[in-house]
Amino acid sequence: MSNDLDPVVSVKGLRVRFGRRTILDGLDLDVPRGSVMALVGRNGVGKSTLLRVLVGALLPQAGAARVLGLDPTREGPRVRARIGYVPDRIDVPSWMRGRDWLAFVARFYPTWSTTEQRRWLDVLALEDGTKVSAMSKGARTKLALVAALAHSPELLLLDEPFSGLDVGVRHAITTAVLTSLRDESRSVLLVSHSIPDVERLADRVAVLSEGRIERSGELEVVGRTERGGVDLESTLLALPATGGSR
Amino acid sequence: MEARLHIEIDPRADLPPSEQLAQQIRFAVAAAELRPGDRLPSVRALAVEALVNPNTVGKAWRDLEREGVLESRPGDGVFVARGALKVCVAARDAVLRERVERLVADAHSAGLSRGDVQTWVDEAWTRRRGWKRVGGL
Repeated sequence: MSNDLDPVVSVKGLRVRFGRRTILDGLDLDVPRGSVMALVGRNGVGKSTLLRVLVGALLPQAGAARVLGLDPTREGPRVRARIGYVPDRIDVPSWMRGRDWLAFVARFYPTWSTTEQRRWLDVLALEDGTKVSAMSKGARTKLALVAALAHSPELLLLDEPFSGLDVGVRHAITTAVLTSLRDESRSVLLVSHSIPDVERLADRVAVLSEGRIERSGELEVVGRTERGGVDLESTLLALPATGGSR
Repeated sequence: MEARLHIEIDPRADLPPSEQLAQQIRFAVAAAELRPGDRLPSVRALAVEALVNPNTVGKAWRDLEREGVLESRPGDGVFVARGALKVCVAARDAVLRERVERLVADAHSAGLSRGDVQTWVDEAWTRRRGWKRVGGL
């Protein structure tokens, strides 16, 4: 049984290889309950790979992952029923209207609420009668976020939710995620290159480099500048560039 | 009564977000925009409004409680504390005087006269007149 004090995500010694290329190499990570943790690092460093392990879409070669106390490699459906996941590439059939997609997704979640669905459509100012083919990238991301929130998940996994979006949409997404935190014990694990958005949204940050967590902790500590402010970008620029095969 | 606040956080400013928030509260109390006994919005509501993580707000609240600016009444909320005005006026004046000291030090080492600086201060002051005061920083 999981306990309120247990981390919502706990990863130990995770190793993932694609062919001869090692992506994750003994990665350890704990996400405390109630926190918004940003996972940052250079391109191709394995951030999305880690999320895919956590949702049970990818089997690691070694190591263990626990999500809400469950093993995603063996209990994937049970994990997915209790988390919300916005993947980096959102594949929605283009002929569907927003509301058709939500009705389709709702069937996979025992805790789905149409009241919550309406609430998140309102918060995000999204028109659900529009066909997906006619939606902007921002609207599709909003739709994916509604689909990830309407079943009141305990954990939200967001993979590059801000990428390629204008400031208005990024603002709306930040507002929605912060609003969703009003439900006391919700936790968020966020992968993003959009550092200003991370600096607002996250309270903890984990820096992924060379297959491991290079450092992690409170944002105001990890990203602290000499002048006392927060500048995560400089922290990231100090990291080694990711090489090809290792 | 519940206070209406306009908080703006710039994650890239020289102060960490939680301290920017605390500073804006201190300035609002010092300017009597917030008065002892006023209730502050809940941590999570203010987090959405200021677009920062709730723990950032929580940290600011804890710091301000320690300084005697805020007091939490369990089950009721967080309020501006009874001796907050004095604390906040002192804190605000310390911040602003420090900036003046720095300005004067820079002007002095650049070889400017007291009159030069005073002229600029007067000009800046004139331009500000009629501006609506918003926020603290």
